[in-house]
Amino acid sequence: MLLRRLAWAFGTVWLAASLAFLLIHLAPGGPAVALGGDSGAPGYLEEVARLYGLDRPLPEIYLDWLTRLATGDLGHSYRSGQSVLSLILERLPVTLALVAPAVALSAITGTFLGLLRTRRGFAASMAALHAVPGYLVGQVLVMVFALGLGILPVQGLVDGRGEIGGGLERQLDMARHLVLPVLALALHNLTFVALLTRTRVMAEMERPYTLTAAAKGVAPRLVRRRHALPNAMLGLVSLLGSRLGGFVAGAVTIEVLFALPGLGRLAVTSAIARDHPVVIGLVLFTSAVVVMTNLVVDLTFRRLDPRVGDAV
Amino acid sequence: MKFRLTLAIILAGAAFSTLTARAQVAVVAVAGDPGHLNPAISTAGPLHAVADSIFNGLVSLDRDGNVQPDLATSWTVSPDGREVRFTLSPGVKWHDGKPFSAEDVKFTFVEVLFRFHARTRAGLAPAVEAVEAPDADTVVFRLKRPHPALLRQLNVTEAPILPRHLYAGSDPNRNEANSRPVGTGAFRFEGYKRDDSVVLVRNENYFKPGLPKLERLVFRVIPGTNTQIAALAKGEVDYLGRVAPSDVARLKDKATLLDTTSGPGGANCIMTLAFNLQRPALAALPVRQAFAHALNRRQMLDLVQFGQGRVAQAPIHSAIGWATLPGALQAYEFDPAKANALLDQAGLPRSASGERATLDLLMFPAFARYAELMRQQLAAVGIALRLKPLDPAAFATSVFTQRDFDLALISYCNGVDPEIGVRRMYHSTAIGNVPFSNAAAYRNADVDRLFDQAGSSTDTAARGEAYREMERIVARDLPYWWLVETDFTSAWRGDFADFAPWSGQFAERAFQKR
Repeated sequence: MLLRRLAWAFGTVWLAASLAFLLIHLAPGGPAVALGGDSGAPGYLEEVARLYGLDRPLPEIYLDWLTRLATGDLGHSYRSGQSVLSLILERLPVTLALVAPAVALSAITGTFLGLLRTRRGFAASMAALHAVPGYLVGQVLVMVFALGLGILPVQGLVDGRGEIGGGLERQLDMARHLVLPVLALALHNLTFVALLTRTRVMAEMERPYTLTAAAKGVAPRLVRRRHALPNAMLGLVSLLGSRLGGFVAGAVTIEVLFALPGLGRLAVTSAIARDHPVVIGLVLFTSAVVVMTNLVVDLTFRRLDPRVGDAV
Repeated sequence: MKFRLTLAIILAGAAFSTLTARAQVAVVAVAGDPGHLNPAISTAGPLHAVADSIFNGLVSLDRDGNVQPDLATSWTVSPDGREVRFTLSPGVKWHDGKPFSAEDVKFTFVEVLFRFHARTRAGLAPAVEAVEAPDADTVVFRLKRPHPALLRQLNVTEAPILPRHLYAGSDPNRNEANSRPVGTGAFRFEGYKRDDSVVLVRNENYFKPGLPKLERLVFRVIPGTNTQIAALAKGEVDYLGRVAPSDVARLKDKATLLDTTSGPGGANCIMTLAFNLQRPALAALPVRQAFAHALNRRQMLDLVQFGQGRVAQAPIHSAIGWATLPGALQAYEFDPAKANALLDQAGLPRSASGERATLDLLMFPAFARYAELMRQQLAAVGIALRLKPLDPAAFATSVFTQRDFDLALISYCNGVDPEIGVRRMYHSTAIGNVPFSNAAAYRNADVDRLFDQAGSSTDTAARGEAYREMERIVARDLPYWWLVETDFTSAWRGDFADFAPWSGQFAERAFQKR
């Protein structure tokens, strides 16, 4: 069973990467324009294409890429010459430092908010907040906390003047720089979790077992937390898992807005520069992470709920 | 409790950042990641914005485009204009301590610039017969024909000099020094984090006495213009090389502003509408004349450029005073009625819905406001535009390789000499797979002849006359419609002084007051 799931996961990742390969090679404009700048002499573009082996037929380039991939080689960046894997690993910590707190924040705070017994306007205001795109939330946060109150920085991962030392001082500086980006990324998803929790818990509250609990005198607050929530959690966990892709996509916008050197920025810069190996490598990497997470979530799901057997 | 802890951490961080002492540090925002730092193999803007402070050219150009000494202290041109002899500044050292010599110059031109620097390869290499280094302090350019633009093509942006001892015998595209550059320039390389920052420090042994004054020059890669402005307002960034016209008003009382016609992408730029003359509808002259009468360029200057520039008066930029022909375009006043009459006459009647034709307009996303305004203005005369914003790589391929477009919106930079940036727009040999060349696919034997004549004469008066004659012809043929001369604005915080406009060695003389 697990083997079959793994084979599927593997196939999905391969398909995603191959699609990315095809798309970026078929996109108009090659890396030569980006590499050489904006003007040139006759023959210059052809020469650069030859330099990077891009004058060969597409199937040949694809087979070459696939053979190397089989040996674990993701290739080298056209722009920097650095290996794609090292580029990705270099950027990963920044994106993790952004996405992990945002996921945690939106899961915990969102669930908490969803459990509150609130007035009518709650759902509507959450939905309205959810509809505001992340970059707009980010700009409002910058206006209030960075420019207005002046307590947090506008951009970057560390102070640009470079007077900060190493160790704890540097960690603190980074934490300070990450507050607004994490908030901006979390707010969008937090509202979603809150709405979902609320709906799920409300649905559970209609069901006979919660009515029974209430009838035997359990306080309403406890009925929600102890009885309804654990059952509602199932759907929540799987939905959060499937939204991981959304978090990563959101991270791209936030990294651009706050000028953070994470994977999202790497993707944008490489796509504009037509740095094919990096773009394909990134798609491969992210799809692998998302597919694997979903696999883990499904397996956790079975743990959380004995009723979900081999059907998964 | 947890909240208090977080608050304490935030406050502690804030205290740290305000307590640190102020050295002579300038933080500069760049919009794109440089990729690598070898300015001799690329003309890309973000790369040159950073790397030009690490290197030198033989000469530099001041704000008005006049030639000033850089690595060369003086130069002489032979009477026939075919030999130019440079005397180099003595005792110049590379950042790694090795001596700089004429061999470095010769190597860089022959092995690197003439092969990989797109503009220098196209604009200078064909005129040069040989570059010679008779002794350590002398460089001689032997030319196939007099090439009056030579000196203006030798600054650090067009021709940065690389260290031969690190590049000889290697592929300059894959040399390790590309990411750890060693130059002769005012600033030494210290560190580079991709998509984040490049840190340069003062070159204590710079060959220009007393320079530079800054101790550190930090480039922060900040893609969003809103973020750049906010960072300047907050004091996280000290210098913005390029402020969008729509943002200039927001910065008026927050920073020192300097308007200039030059930037790292080139000097003296004209926003230009290119007609694809290979499309039957646009091959007809009355149709192109109709465009010229239908487009309200004053409105473009006011609404898109916020007044930062001028309505184009000639095919050549007004800053190249000796070559431009003021009033060359005055026959085409804004007159929609005339445009309608011309289109009727050209056999493009309005259909029942009032439309005459639908055309594709290709442009960079950054020029969307121009395109949007053009769509409104042309709709009034029955021409519908389909806007196709494309990123630079896709744009270059669609327009110059596949020639799959009706209209293209291009910012053509004339450079400081028409030989650099004007010739490639009109000369019939510049049609083809070369980005930002003759987009219109315009062919006129007289125009070709005038360019060849002007490009091989050293007599400025005679050259100016040839260019003006050329302008009379193209103003009549209208392969393009010249919209607006666009000015650039640089901005820096009030406690700094002596920054140069965004190009080349903009921070060589800058310092922080007090």
